[in-house]
Amino acid sequence: MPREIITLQLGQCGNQIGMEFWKRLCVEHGINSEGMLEDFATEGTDRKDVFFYQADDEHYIPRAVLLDLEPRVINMILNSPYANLYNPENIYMSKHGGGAGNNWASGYCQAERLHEEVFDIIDREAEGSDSLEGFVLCHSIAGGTGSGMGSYMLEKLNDRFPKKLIQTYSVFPNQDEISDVVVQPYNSILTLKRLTMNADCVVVLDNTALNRIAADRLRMQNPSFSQVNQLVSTIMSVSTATLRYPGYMNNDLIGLVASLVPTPRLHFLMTGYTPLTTDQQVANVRKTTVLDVMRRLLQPKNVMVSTPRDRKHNHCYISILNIIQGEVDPTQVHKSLQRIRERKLAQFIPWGPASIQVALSRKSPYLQTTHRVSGLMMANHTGISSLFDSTCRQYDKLRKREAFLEQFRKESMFEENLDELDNSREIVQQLIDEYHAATEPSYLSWTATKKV
Amino acid sequence: MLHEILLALSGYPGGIIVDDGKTFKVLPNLDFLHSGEADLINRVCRLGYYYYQFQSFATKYLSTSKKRKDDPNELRSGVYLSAFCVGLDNVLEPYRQAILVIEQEVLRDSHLPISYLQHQLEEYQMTFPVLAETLSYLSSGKYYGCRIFDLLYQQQNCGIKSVEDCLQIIINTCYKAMCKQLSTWLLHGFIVDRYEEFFICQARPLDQDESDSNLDHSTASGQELIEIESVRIMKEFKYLRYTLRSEVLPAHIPPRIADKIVFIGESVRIFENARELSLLNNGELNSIYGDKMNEIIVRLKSLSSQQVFSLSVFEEVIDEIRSTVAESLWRIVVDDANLVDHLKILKEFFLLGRGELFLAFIDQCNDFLKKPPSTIIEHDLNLAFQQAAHKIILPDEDFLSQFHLKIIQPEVEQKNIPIEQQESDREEAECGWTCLNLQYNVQWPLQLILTKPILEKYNVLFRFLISVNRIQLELQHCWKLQMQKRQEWQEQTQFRNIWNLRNHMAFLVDNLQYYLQVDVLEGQFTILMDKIKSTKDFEHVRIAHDQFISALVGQSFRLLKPVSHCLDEILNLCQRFCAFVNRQSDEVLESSAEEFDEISKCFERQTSLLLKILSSVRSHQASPHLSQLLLRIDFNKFFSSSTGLS
Repeated sequence: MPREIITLQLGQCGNQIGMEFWKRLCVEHGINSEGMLEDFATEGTDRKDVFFYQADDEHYIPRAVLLDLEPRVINMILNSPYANLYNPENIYMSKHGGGAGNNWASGYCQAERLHEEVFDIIDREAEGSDSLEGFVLCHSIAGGTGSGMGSYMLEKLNDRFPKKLIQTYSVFPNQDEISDVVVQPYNSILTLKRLTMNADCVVVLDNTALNRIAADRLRMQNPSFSQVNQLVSTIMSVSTATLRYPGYMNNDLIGLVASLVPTPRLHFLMTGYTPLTTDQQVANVRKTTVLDVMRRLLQPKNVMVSTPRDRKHNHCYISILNIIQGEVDPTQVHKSLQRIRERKLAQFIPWGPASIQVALSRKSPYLQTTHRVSGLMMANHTGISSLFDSTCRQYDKLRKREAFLEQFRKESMFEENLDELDNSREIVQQLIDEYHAATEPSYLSWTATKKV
Repeated sequence: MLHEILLALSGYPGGIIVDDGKTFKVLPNLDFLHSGEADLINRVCRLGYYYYQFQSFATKYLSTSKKRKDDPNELRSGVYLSAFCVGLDNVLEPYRQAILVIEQEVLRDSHLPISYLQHQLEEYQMTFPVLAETLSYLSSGKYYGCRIFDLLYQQQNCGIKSVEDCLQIIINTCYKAMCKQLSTWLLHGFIVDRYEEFFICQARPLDQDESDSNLDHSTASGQELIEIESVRIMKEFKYLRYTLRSEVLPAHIPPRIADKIVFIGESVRIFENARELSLLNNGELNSIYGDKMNEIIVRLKSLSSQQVFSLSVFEEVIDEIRSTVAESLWRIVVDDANLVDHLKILKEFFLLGRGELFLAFIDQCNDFLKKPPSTIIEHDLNLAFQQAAHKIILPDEDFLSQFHLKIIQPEVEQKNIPIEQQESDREEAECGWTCLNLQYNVQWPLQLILTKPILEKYNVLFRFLISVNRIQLELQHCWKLQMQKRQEWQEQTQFRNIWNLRNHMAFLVDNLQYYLQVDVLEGQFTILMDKIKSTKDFEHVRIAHDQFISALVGQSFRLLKPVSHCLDEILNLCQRFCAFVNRQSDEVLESSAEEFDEISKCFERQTSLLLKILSSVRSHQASPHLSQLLLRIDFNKFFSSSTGLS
């Protein structure tokens, strides 16, 4: 009974990272770009059926639904060697093809109009699985389709499949550069509300940090989209490794996520990965031990979320899960944990038990790496609130000036008032407050006072 | 008169020299004898009496086959006793020769003085009393079988050369007998020991093999019949264990060597049994010793013809044979049978290495295994197990069929438990999960490693691990429910507290699970694999595996009552909590606050108890694993600071 997971990729960004993700999964499972199993990969005990299903002709087909309101990226996929990998019935492009114009409201409202066609695909896909565990959504929160349509899908999925989990890989915009999407803060806040309310777990992929890592750690001056997306696909594939390979624990999405999310709203996760390399770079092979890997994962420079220093709050980890792959001596795990605690390398919440959970996972035999041990950290850290905080500040600047709102007023949702925006802003503020409160020992009584 | 004496010396008293029950004596009051002469005759004739005793003892016990009535005064016959008699007879031969010489002298010179006789037989005055003493000890029945050596060595240790020499002759005859038994044992694995004298015997099986009677052949389908048949064939290989019979182990063979001897013969027996069933891959081999057989026979021959027993030579030979045997067995078990692969499979099943398989299995079976156990569900259970396995796609079908689930109920006295007494935790104690047994069809030659007690230990772990796993899944299910109803339940007063309690519970169970899987299972398994790789000796492998499984049982606290009880209690509370949340999702029960408070309080008490136990013994070097669990559970010192422990 595999716990199948359906991946929904939305918009330009969502489809781009989705494509990298499937490329990577294909390599890891020994599936070629046509969906056929390579000769060398027939003996594996890996669990391909979580993310793929087999067609009548033995082809492996991703359980993926590709959605976009404009055809550019999807056409690019359909012209790539991986064109035949996907089920063509699972690719949906809106007929008029005009996109969402980087406008959340447009994306949301178009999704509302199109939802029957979209959910036909999703329902069919869900029925085709034996015991569907949940959905993984890939999107960006800044644009139009990923954010607007994504928001709609989140709400609707919650309605239609109340018992299924929803995890998202949400790309946050790069704050180091000036975006050509002026309404980006509006889009972000509106999407953040849905991520807070409707998703079970959000893996935050911060473009700011990703670009910084690409530039600093990988020494690329102007990292291309695909180079950054490779980082993302690494994160995505390793974070699903325990689902795709036999192992003793974390065999399903719930198992992975539940231990990381102690309260319903605080479900935004940071990720870190080490050692970082790209395929161009011949890695300077360093000695990697479990302790090295675990220690490096705690360093901010390896974390894929940039959190500006926040002096007002004593930010701390709520929970950490490290997925360690490679040749690991299990007896080293305990020693590493001991060392990390002795040296106080990680600060934890004062209001509940917390620790670093270490899962040892298998690694694809078909993917050559120069490192003996590699590791992924998934962490729930209160510092992530500063990311939301800066989004809010940008939002407030625009909102005060009532700038660029015409686009939104065009859609029925905002015709009468802008309450939806203000409401979203409030929910995001509550989220930030809750993260701040979680740094204090008094956190458990916090919401109680709040409610009165 | 001299003839009268000679007859007496040969053991036949007559009219003048009579048997008074203690010795041979001249009739008193014979006036032609001077009292000094009479004393002298008496002294000489004493030898005759001894000889008479020896003779009658030897004729009585020389033959082992002779059927005798159960007379409590009689000794149990045996090989060693008859060997002793042969030795005794050999010792007496020079005496007989001496009497013959005397008789010829007497015939030549009828005026030979008695003192001549005394002179001729003087050396026997020394040895015969010792032999007689030996005999009387022997008659006590204490020195039975191989223990005879203890007596002989003890008697020999007197410092008189002639006595030592003649006892050595007897020792050698007995030693030859032992060497014969020893070499049939060492070479062929047989114990030829009709009289239970050898210091090795077959161990009594610990448990009577579960009879096949519970398999109802008449209703079995064709497929099942085939399975039963294959099970029967498998069972034909019997792993016979042998053990030391310490009460007859002679003192001159130290137990350390004796154990090695046991191992050798046992291994030979294993090999021979397997060969008869043609279980061995390498058909050409017709002995465990391979081409070393002849060499070893020569070594054993030289051993038995040793004039004086030398422990160092003996041990050297035994050691050499042992290492040959151990390596052969190692090759059979580790190389030919791929022990390492099998151990990995065992780890995947018994130790839940295949988490995804058991995830599916628990999903399917949780409902009916939560109920009180019954053997009827066994079929469904196995079906569910097979289904789960098929869905997870196990490419290797072969080993899957080797596993079979069974419900084994502890002797429950279903007498008179009133219905109202069926408390929830009482039900827990007797639910199907606790009676679950995973059976593994052990195939040749893994019986040598995976004995019944070892498999039982695997099962203890299996049950514990699956219960931890199950609770973990239930808590995760709660998380899902809570997540689903987060908007709806937000208004409840208990909302925060329920999340918080679930959190603590899940944290504890998750970390227990990580501790068990990473620190204990993976850690010990790595150690085991390293050990297996670094040796070529079967016994080392077996010991390493025994240590592995004992370490697992120990480190999962199954033997540490306070901790295991505490953990079980915590798991029970988690289960109650899950049931509570599940009920809540069905209907909103505001009155349930009390129940929640009770669970919450109990949980707090048990965790602080657990913390106390773990931290109180953590300094002990003897159980470092307790502190390993503590480190994981109390990583951010939350529990220790909240319970006031430093």
